[in-house]
Amino acid sequence: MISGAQLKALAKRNIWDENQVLRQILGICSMLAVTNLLSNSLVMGIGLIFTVSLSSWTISLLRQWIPHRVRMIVQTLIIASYVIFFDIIIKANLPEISRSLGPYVGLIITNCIIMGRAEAFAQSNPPLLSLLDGFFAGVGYTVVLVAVAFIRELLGFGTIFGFNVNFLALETWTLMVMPPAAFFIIGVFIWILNIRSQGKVSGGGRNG
Amino acid sequence: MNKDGHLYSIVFTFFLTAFFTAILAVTQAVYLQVITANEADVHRRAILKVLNVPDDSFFQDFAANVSQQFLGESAVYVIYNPDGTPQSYAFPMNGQGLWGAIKGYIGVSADFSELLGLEFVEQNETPGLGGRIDEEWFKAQFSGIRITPGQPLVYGEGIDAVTGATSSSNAVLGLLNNTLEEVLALQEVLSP
Repeated sequence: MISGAQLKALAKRNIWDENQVLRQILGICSMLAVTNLLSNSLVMGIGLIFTVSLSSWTISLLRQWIPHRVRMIVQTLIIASYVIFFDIIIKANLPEISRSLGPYVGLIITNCIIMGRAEAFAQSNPPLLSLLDGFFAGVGYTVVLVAVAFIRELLGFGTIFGFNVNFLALETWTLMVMPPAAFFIIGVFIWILNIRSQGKVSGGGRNG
Repeated sequence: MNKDGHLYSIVFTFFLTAFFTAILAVTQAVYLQVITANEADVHRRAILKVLNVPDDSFFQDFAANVSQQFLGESAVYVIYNPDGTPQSYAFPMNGQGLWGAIKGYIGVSADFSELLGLEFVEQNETPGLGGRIDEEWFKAQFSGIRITPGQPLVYGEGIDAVTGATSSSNAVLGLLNNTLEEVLALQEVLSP
């Protein structure tokens, strides 16, 4: 079984130390595409958490039987199956969100994070651990996704989850609505993170 | 069997693919009805909206209130007055936007002199920019506009384009004008 300390370490590593977006620079495509609205980002994040956890779990379960030379094809097949499954479920139960997410759900298949976790972790670790690894990697992605979406929706539309908070009727910032805005925001995030980790490495003092 | 041999790889991949495909096929079959019904609802709401009947009872009993007719390949939806004369028509509108297909409906008065409304059921324009063609203020501009045969609608005279989304706005207007042209050609067939 997995101990609490192990779980905590796994969570910390996947959400903070090796954050998929800010540290590994993976999943940037969807980060640019869906983050201008919080609701879309949240559903996208949930979809990714679901897909990456279950595909990591499945790949880990089958890891002894998957032939090495076709492993990537098999991984893609498993990932695609879960994504299509998720797509059908939200089409049936959340038609409105499905309409606004449009093709992005299908594009979860190509999200590098999922295959990254499959290659880097699931194929050499036990199922439950792989599931949790995928889950926390997905949470790490979703946290950044929602943080970026919060800034973009607030500045681009003056709303939060669709509720108008632009009480002073300030002019909204069109650039924030467009994909490049995510580049600037993620860039600033990475910058802040780098400054923090630099401080740690050099013992807290830049001149020391 | 050798795990890295050709035969094993082929057999393994074949059965794994069959297994996952079967799961997806079952899921799709289970939800197919719900998904089709959801889509049909979106279309019905759009049709009622362009016909200016936001009445929920019409939606509940769509088939009884809105008559669907076919003219060749194109469908037309008609609401009748109590005396049996047509009250208004809704026509589907299909075409290309900036990024993908735009599908929707337009409503036209019985004498084909007035555009009653415009509604989209599918569009893939940039969310927040071209996607704003799906916002109420934009669509509302097309309600109650006079249709003059041979005179396409243009932006500026009571209709505003979406700022920063010229291509999407023009795509909508082009689509609308094309549809109106086709609709006017149907006028003789529908109201002799």
